[in-house]
Amino acid sequence: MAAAVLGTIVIYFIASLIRHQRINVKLNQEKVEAEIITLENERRRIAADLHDEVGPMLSGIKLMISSLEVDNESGRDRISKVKEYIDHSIQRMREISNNLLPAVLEKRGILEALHQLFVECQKVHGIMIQFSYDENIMLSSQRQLHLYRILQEILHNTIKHSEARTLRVELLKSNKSISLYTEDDGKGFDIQDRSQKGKGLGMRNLHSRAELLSGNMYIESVPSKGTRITLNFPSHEQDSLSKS
Amino acid sequence: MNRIASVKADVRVIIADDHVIFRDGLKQALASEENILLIGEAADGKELLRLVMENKPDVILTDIRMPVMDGISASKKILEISPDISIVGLSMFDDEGHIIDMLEAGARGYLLKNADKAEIIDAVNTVFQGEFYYCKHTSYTLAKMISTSKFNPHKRKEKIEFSERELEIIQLICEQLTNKEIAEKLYLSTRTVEGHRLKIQEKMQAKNTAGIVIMAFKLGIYHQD
Repeated sequence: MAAAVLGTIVIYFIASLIRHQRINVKLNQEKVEAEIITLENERRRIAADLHDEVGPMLSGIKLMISSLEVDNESGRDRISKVKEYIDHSIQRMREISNNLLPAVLEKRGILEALHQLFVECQKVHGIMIQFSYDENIMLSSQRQLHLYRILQEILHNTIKHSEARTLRVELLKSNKSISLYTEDDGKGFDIQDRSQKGKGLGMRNLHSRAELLSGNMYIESVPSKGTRITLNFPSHEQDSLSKS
Repeated sequence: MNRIASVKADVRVIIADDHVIFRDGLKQALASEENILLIGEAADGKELLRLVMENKPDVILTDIRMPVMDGISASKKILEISPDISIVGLSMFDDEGHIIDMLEAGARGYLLKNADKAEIIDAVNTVFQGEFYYCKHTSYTLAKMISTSKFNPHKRKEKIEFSERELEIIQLICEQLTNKEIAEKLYLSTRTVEGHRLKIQEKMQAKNTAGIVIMAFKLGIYHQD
């Protein structure tokens, strides 16, 4: 009798431990999600302000400068220099706004946005990117953004750390899931060693975004053999509260 | 640039933009032109509509995105009443969708806000003469979007004939090569390429490279690899 009571208590204790653990995981995930959404909203707001407010002001100033009438050579030189600087500022502002939130992502979707990102990267960093994908990948705008940020992070790591010459990116759709597969021919790293040192901020972000997509991510890397990343996630949104 | 010496008549212009600084810059730029007369400025579409009713302009330069009433709705309303007014949309870069809406609403051209003073003047004079104006800084994406949009001002009956050489050059222009690069590629002199380019522009009635690219798409001459 006593054993049965004790047993029940122990089982109840373990069950509630597990339940608490699950609630904690869920709460933590919700917190991360809220943080990421706040961050993205802020980025969107700043990008829009730069684009809609600062842009026209700079353009107005440039026009005003262009209308100055100066009758000496050095004055004219200075005016044309100032115009050049304003153009440069507009260009930089455009890049900054685009880094915060690529306009193309919202307007033309993930595939077009990735295309542009890769073309830009090839041009600036000289890395060769082979991109193959399924045309009919459809994602909500929030999930598109997560996927885009994941690829941005992977690209960033590849360029910064791997010394790779080629990066292969595949985005495929099967029945109910979407797979992202990337592989570089860089110098790779020791995963064991890396995990002992603790995950860097970039890696943590990568995993948080993967979690937000309800996906599983695997990173395989061997020193001097390159790095491979696989991410599988359901093609349809899951209610993050109903799982776990 | 096409300077229009023969235009003696004053081009009466109204501008609309919600940014005071930009409007001021635009005003200054237009003020330096003798044949352009600025007759009003508005901060939104509704105010623009009111000004147009009071004082009919020849040309309107209007921002596309504005509070209260945007440039697209304002243009539709204005053109319903006065279809002979030429409207030029002003927009920031990468606002392709809005530019297309503006052209489909009846605008005769568009300018990106970082355009030079000379280009703005050129655009005003061009649309005043009843032609269309595409901004010099038109991106490849936008050119493609314009060519597949409902905006089709080039309803010319006769077919335009191009020589083999011209077709080759159009192809390279669309691939964003400069005259010099085209010359090197085709083993021609830069002068010869310039000559061909002018001829192409004339045949297409295009004012700049953007015009050539848009027409090439429209005519089905340019095929992307």
